[in-house]
Amino acid sequence: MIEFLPTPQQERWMAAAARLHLRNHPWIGQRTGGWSAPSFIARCAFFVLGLAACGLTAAVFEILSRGAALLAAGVTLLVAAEWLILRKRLFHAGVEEALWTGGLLMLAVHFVPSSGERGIAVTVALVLAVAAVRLLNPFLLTLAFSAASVAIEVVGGHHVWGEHDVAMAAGVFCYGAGASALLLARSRFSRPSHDHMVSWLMVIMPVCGFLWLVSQPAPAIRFGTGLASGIFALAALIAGVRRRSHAPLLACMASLGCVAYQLRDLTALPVKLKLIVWGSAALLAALGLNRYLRTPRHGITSLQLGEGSAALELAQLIGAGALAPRAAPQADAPFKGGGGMGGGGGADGSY
Amino acid sequence: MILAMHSLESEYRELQAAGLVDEAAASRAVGLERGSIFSVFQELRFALYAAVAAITAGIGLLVKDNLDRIGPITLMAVLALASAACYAAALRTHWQGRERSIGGDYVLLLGALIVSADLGYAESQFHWLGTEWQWYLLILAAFHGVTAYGLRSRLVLCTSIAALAAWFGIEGQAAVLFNVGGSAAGLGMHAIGCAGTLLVWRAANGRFGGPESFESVIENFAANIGFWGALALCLTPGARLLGLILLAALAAASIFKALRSKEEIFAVYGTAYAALTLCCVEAQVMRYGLGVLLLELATVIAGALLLWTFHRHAVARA
Repeated sequence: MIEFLPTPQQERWMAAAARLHLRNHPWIGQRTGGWSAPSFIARCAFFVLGLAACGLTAAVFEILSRGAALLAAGVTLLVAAEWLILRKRLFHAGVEEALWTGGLLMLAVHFVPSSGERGIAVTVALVLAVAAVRLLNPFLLTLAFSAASVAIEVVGGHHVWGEHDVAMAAGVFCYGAGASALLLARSRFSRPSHDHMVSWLMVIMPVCGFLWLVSQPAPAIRFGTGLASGIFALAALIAGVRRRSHAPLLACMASLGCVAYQLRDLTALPVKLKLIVWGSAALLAALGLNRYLRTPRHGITSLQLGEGSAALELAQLIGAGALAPRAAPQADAPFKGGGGMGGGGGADGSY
Repeated sequence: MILAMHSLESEYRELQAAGLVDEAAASRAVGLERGSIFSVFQELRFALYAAVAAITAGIGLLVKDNLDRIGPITLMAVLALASAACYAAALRTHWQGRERSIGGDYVLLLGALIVSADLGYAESQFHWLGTEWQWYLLILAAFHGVTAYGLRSRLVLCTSIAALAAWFGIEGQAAVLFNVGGSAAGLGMHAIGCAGTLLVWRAANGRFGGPESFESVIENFAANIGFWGALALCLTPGARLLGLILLAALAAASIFKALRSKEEIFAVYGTAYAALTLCCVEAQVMRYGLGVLLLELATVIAGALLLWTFHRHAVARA
């Protein structure tokens, strides 16, 4: 019998093994039914390589069969992706996700008439949704919902680019999707991937809703988006603390960022001072919380439990390096090209 | 009642029964599943990073605008006081023999970033180093390096490496790489020089008993800077051969490192960087057509297969 996906039980074993760093153990291999998933970092690399393969395949078929290039490339990519899933039993490996999504998008673009934004927006949303369901991919599902919000705006008669209509329907849809995900997360899912899908939606969609409406200068809309983000942040905080879940807490932080942005004119301070003052306030609040939770309170602690994720550790290091000033703030000193003395003349003096 | 979205409790118990994890690890995992213990460490880390980023951006703007009303001496003194306060907190923890918390780590990082801004501003105002102003970046790299070793901070080590890279002229401007015939070759040589310096630093760290946790930080920066340097050279017509030789050497070293240390990230560097760089070179040196596209496709597939082989190798070794 062909297995199109790992069973929920097999997927749970894969998740448990990943959390305890036992992913490669043969005992686990027996329970996962041979389904294989690399680490998050490798998955990202495979996804990038898969996207490159999609583009190159389309270019090859563009030369071979100009009229039906997208059809041929789409079918080829889908067959390759299904072969990787069904025969090589890849699940959440990145490469099959890129090939499957790219292939279906090419087929859709081939068959859907290219006239008008309407058809394209709806098609992209549908393709991403189908790919997300087939591959159980939370990122693709979130993209599908975002594309659906674009489709709602386009179908509603507004142009996405070049007009300043109020994207109320799209904004409400995104906030609604985030709130629904927050409510839905109360359910118990058998598949970890369903859990991740709901988590992604609750974090990203309220921010999307905010972005649809943030450019509107009308005070009512500004107040409304601030209030909506504030209410969502509060609900997510309560849900996160009660359920002991990270996704609602991240959703709360993202929505708090939206609220902070809408409160930017609360004081007449210049931007630099606002950044310093509000940054310091956030730093003090985080330090206070860190100190308060050093002793676990109702089971919640600020201490790290177990090993951190390699991807997050790497992101932290890159982030710290990215914050460092780049070069000297020189205005009148001449640039010494070609490496300068001891190779140190590369800095260009911009600040 | 605490509702978990999904619970892997039964799987953890089975893993314990099978002897794959000890009782302590299983109990901790079960506790996390049940919500009897819950860590907000990652959320705090994210909030601390955002706060430090906001403050640093604000200070950057403040310094950039010169603040004639306040005056350079006052501004420098205020920044020095702020950074001293950050360092004092870290020093106090260090002298008390306690382990610094995540909050303490980020306060120390903020102190280091303020020192960077302060020193840069001072140099721009007083021109202490004259036309050799670039050396202030090296002084900064050395200062942060000493602080990082003294206070055992990986985050400050990152700022030290970033200052060193800036001294070499590497500022993360990807657009320069594709400016063929422009400054890409110079950038490439500087990047290779920087990566080489980092490897010497890494060797010295190991030889003189530096913290083990610093090694992966230096190695990751060295690998990324080195591969970007090789890419820049590969995209420069006169330096292409040198770029390809360096690319091959870096890819081989990365994969060897991945196989030896089981750090998958180096396998990713060795395969993905190499495959994508080769694709760029093929597109440059060959005339556009079916041949070059098929070659590029084969390169990408070979890169993916190599990475998958590493994954299977890791499975087999386990």
